Amino acid sequence: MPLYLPVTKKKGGKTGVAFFSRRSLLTRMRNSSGFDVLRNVTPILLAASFFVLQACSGGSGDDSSALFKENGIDTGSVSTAQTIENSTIPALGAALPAPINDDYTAARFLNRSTFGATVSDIERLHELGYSAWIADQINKPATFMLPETRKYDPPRWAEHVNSWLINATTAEDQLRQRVAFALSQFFVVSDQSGLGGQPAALSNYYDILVANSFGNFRELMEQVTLSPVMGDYLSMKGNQKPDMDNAIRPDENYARELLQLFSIGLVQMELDGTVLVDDNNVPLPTYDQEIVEAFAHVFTGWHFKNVDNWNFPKTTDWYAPMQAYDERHDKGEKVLLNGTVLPAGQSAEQDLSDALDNIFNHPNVAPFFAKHMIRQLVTSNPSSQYIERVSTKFNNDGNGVRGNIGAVVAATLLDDEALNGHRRNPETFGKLREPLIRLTSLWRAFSAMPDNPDFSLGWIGNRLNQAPLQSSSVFNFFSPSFSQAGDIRTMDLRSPEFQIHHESSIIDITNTLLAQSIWLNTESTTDADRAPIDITPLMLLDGDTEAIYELLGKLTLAKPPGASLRAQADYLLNKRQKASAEVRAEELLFLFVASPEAAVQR
Amino acid sequence: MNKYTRRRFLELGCRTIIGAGLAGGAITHNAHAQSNGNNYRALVCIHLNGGNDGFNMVVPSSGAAYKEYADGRGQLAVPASSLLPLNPATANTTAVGLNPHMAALKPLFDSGQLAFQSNVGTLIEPGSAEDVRNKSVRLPAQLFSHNDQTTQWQKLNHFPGPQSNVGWGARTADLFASGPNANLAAISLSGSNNWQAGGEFSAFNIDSEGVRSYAGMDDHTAKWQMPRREAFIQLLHAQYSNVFEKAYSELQSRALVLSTNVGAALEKRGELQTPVPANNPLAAQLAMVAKLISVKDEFSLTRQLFYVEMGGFDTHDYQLDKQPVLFGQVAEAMEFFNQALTEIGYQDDVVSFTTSDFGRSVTSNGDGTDHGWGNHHIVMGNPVLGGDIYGILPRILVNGPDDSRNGRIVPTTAVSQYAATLLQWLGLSVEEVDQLLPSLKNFNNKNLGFLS
Repeated sequence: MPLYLPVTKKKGGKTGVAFFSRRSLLTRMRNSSGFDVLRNVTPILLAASFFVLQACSGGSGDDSSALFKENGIDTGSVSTAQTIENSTIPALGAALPAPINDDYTAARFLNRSTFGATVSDIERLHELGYSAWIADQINKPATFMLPETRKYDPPRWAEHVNSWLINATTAEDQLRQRVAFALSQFFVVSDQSGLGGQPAALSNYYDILVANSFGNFRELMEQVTLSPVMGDYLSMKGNQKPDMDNAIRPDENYARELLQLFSIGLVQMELDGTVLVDDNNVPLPTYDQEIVEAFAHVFTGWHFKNVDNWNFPKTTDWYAPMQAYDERHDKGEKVLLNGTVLPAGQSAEQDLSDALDNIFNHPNVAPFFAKHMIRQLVTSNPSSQYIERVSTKFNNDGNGVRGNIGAVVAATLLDDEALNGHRRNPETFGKLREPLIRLTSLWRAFSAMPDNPDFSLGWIGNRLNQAPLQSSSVFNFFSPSFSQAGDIRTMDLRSPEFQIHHESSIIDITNTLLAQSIWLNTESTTDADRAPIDITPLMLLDGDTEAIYELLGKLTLAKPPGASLRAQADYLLNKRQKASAEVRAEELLFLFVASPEAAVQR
Repeated sequence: MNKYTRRRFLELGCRTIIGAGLAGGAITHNAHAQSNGNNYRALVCIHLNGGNDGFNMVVPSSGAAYKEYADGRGQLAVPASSLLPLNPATANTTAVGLNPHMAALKPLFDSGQLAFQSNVGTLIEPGSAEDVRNKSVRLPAQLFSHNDQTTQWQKLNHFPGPQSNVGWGARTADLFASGPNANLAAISLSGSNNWQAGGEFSAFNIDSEGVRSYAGMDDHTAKWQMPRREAFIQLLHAQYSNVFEKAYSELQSRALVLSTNVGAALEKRGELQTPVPANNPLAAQLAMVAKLISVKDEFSLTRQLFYVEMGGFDTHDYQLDKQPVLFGQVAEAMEFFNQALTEIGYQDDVVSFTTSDFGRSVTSNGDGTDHGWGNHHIVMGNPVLGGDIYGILPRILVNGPDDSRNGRIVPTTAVSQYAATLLQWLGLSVEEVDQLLPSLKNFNNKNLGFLS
């Protein structure tokens, strides 16, 4: 039952949109039991094109009607169950994925789709093949953050950071977790705000992303919009209709950032991400100030559920979606994107629903979101063809559904360029790895278990210049357009992650890797708040240099070490001839994880 | 290489002002006396991230002007009775007062070490609010967007060209930077920023805590650990063909060398005598700037550009709670920095100036303000012809003659003019700033006069 139909290209480059409004669906729900149901709207929309992937890969294929349940958590703001209704033959577009020839290839794929390759994941991927592995991951029960955060009552400072580290390192649903992290850098909220003392509420927000990682973009956008955490972060919560007697106008904060950062971006784009320009080569803007003000009027009338006082609320429900208060909602006519008019007199819910439809069906969403996901998961400088292929999937997952995030993820990971770009463009393909992911990769590769009840690394952001839900602003940790001085900028390439790497942070990051690889790898480590790794697998290979290099290559580089890394490793081994196997293992491990080769994902 | 390099700049016909001849005294067109013979000048950019509400910083204090302001701002208006009266050297038509939470700056204004530049903003060419409403003037792209407006402030990139992806701080630093410490010509205390980005040399990054050292691998490492350090360093010297690997190894190498050298100089220097205000991140950054200035001779630097930043100014909500704290911290930090410069003997050689994404709307959304355009800014230092308010004070009237739309005041001074004034003090000629700041050619007044 596809609700969203793909965009249709009209003559003259303009894109028209054909879609059924969600209004009918919404209306039905509201009629039955009130608007609050919205939060439980199960994405019937979540059609299951990815399941079909199994068919491609010759996987087990026994799962034509998979049902996966997410463990319910004590909040209504995330979907509690998602049913995969059916499965049809996929339209993967490109040819079948390349075979997984070796462990390095498998590790390369896993470094994009998990928080770091492990020996057992590499084996599992060989067993299943790419597509079935993705399907298997999508089927796994979701691991949520709030239950982890709630293990402490009240939660400790920055507990959400601990919860994130634990789930990123140990959760079985790695693909979902990795996608959720990518989404958290799109729909950004941060504890660097009034939310600093709200680790549980932030965790609940993150769970919206976790729950919808393979869901529908439209539904996710709605849950994000109605989250009181987002409402607080971008001040839609408490936004009210104009009150000229008191010189009050609607707050433009959420309206602007929703358009600029969470959906369509500032400039009009082709499906392949190419920016459209006017005759003077000036990019065509997607909206102007009047449209921002119109959306600001749309987003009036929302506050905490059952709020007792508009300006000074004491009843602060940080978990339920925000509630509409129609008397505070602006009832005027609103002119939105592409001239779409919302008639006067609509309710807050109706205006919001229509406005989100208006945004969702803008042709920019596909390339804007596709670029984000490709840059997050695979490479900083995708070709326009790669973007177009993923955008196409966003607009139509093959089953007529628009906005299927699961399909976008699969298309991003299985694209020919993703699988072969490192061979075709070895000099420019790939991306700098995020500091957090370098840490989780090390932990995962060497079985760190942050399961000590006293585990506490809430301050890790001070060491990595990055921590989950902790960017300095809604503009995320780094800008997609950041370009590092030197060859990268000269070649007009982008390197977003370099923006958080500078002379201070790169030393902090290196020191963190040193501490985690050398100082925290044995039973003798007494710091209960840390996560010691297990380097036994390396020690067992002591004396077999090639085998150690191969294992380290797989787990830290996703490739064999380059000549200089080999030479320095040889040098260290030689210098440590008289030391213990443990010392040799840890010295090599640090050299590998701190190397420029390990800092880059290709 | 970047197309816009120092050499290219020189080919454009600029006077040579770099290298050995750079010493302050050689810059003859600038009459400013080097009272203490430091042969050194520095600009300190204080970026107020989020869009500072400058119209609540310097406020019309009486009569119709105050009423217009108060009508627009509603309950967010600063009470007239609380404003600290300012008596600018050049009488403005409007009586104005300073926000009481910035009281720490008042003595500096009164003693002539601090001035305000009124209503600065991104502009491509001059135009009235009416021109803006009629769309009869070219407008900067993406007005009211945080990152775009910040980028335009910091890059002045209104015209495509080789300079458009280079911050005007970086363009300037490239003129002065040379030798092994070229990266120290521009130093950021707050991470990457567009003002210092894009030049031939990457700005050096440090923070208020100072430089980092490589644990278990620094110069003082025990002998048995030295092989680790040697192998690590050798790896950085290897050739990398992948651009990301290469850039990473280059950054790591630079961190290793510069952090070691700067760290050693700072350690030798020790702490400032002037007490650093507690719980004030901006003051902490400025304290490190003062320390870095005081060790600049170790690195043979004669011109430097520093970048510090404070966040939290995007006061869409809770403005009544947030703004007093923000203003208080800015004022306290700047007052401290002025004292610290006196302590180290560089009070005549350093000019600090504020920047911000944009001003804020003169309307209210109930408990906050939205993104605006023109904004008042602060310049501080002995070289400042202080005690005055430069430029034209706009009418703070919603949909009044200076309003583009719903409370977004059209700037009457361009960022390029503000920058040009600062850079001329640093030692550039008018011709040079015209080359450096392409949009400046559209404005007749290329020196706003707030610097001697």
